[in-house]
Amino acid sequence: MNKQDIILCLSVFIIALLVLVFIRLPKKGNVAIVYYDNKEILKINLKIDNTYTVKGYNGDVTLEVSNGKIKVSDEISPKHLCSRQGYISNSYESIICLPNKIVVKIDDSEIDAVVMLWN
Amino acid sequence: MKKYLEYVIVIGILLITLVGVLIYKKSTLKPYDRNYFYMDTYINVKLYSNSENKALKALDEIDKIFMEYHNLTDMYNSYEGGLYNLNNGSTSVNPKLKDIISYGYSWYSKSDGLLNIAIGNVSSLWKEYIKKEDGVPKLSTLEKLNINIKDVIINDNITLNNNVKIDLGAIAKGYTCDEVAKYLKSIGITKYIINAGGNVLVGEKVKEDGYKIGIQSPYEDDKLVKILKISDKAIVTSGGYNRGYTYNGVKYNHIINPKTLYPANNMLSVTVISSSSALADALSTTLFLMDVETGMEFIKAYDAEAIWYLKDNVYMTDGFKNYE
Amino acid sequence: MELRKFTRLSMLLALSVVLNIVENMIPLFNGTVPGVKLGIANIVILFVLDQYGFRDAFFLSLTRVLLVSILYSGLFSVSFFLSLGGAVLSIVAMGIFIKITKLSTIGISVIGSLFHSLGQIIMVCFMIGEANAFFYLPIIILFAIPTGILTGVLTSELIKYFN
Repeated sequence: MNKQDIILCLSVFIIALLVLVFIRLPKKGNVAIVYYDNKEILKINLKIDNTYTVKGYNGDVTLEVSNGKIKVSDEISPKHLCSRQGYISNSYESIICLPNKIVVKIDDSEIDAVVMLWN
Repeated sequence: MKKYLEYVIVIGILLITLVGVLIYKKSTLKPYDRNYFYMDTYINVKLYSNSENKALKALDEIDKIFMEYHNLTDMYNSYEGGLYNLNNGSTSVNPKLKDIISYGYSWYSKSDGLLNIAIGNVSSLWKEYIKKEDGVPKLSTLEKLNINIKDVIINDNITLNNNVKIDLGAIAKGYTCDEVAKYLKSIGITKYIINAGGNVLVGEKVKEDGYKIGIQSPYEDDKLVKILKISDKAIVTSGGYNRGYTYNGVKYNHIINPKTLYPANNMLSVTVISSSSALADALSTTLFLMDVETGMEFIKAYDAEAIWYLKDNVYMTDGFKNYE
Repeated sequence: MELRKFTRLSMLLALSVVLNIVENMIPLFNGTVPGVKLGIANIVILFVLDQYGFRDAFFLSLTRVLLVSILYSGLFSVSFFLSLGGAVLSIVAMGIFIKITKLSTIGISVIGSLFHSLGQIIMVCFMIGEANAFFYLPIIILFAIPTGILTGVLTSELIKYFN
């Protein structure tokens, strides 16, 4: 291991760390958007716990909303990679389900809350 | 040996940096939120804290606060010292309920009789019609119901005479949100968003711009008419037909004018901003029951801003634009 | 190509395929953070790069991806394209860096590791137009450094043993 190696490792490490710490702006979103093959197919309100089923490339994909977070709870794919990605709730996170061509993103319109016409 | 020293140094530096970053991340404010369902509303409370323990305990406690006030102000289920019992002959009332009732009572004269917590008999009848969506109560029937505020006697206890019934719908949510905010302040959590449907209460700002709060459009369901940049304020909207119904082509909402005994019809919605959620709640109900001109005069006496949405017009108080 | 060299390369190819498949079977972070892997197959690639040069390493790398997909993950499957993107970018980067810098085997291994991950994320973007995948880049890079160092150390010891 020579000097150049050390410089390489340290600088890459530090840059990645800085990016991780500062450039992330976790914004909890209220709405999740589900895409199939890049087209929006469903908008989900994250404030209400519920289960949703959408058609993926291989078959049904089940999404579960719990406590303002969403995850893929069931899918038909060889390694079940999507359901292992766990819950997401920030606008910079996403669940990418390549085998099923499903992507779940959080709507990052940055609204913290909406005053509804209920009263 | 010397060669391995290099590895150790590099890995050591990496580890120390990693640990340092982890410690830094732990001490920053993180958001924690939870969903509740009380007072017939989906409520979401998000608070910012650097201690997960503290935040989770607070969210547990807030659950209890909402539940308690929900039970106390519930008109349909019996709870000890609660409103249902009071309306049905009980003589003992929980002190917290008494406080809300007193607050609501004070608004009768302030609002020139428009905010009348004794409207229970009339509002209940309308609620039945709203549920059935079939027909409209006759004026003669409504007139026979007792909504006289003077039949509500408040001294050490609360006595209801002549079958008058109390409905706290106009202020219960706002009042409870204030209580939650008081609790959070008492434990040192100053940054939060309490989102109870039409009642939103935000604490100190977390970002430069404050909290971005959208106002739902009274014209199109899934659009926003305004996005406010705001902190340390309560925002309450009165209006809309989500809790109303349409009969014979006429829309009826659920906010009843005690003087006409019919739902108010002056505007589509009104949103009030003020530092107290109870005040904003009471004001928005009152303003909704007044016409816009009277309302604009009325609100001058309060430290609050408002925006009125009519079918073809929008009005707002001078200070409202400070929040846009 | 002389027979001896051809035989050697074939054995190394087989070895890299086996290492690749075995590594895929280890459930190390394989679900929670997509894209994190040990990369032990890279030991062989790096070894070939050092001993036989860029051209041989390049073709060995491509063939490896092809064989692994035929045998294990499915030819022209999603996995195949991801591996392809990662492998190509990785070997090209290693080839470039070994020429223009004085990095040791370990440093080149780290480069290979980094660009492999980068290549995979770029492929994800191409395949489903999901720019959000870059969000995972910092974490993947953080893991790519130590795994790169590890494989680099192993490779350099291997090279020393052979020479």
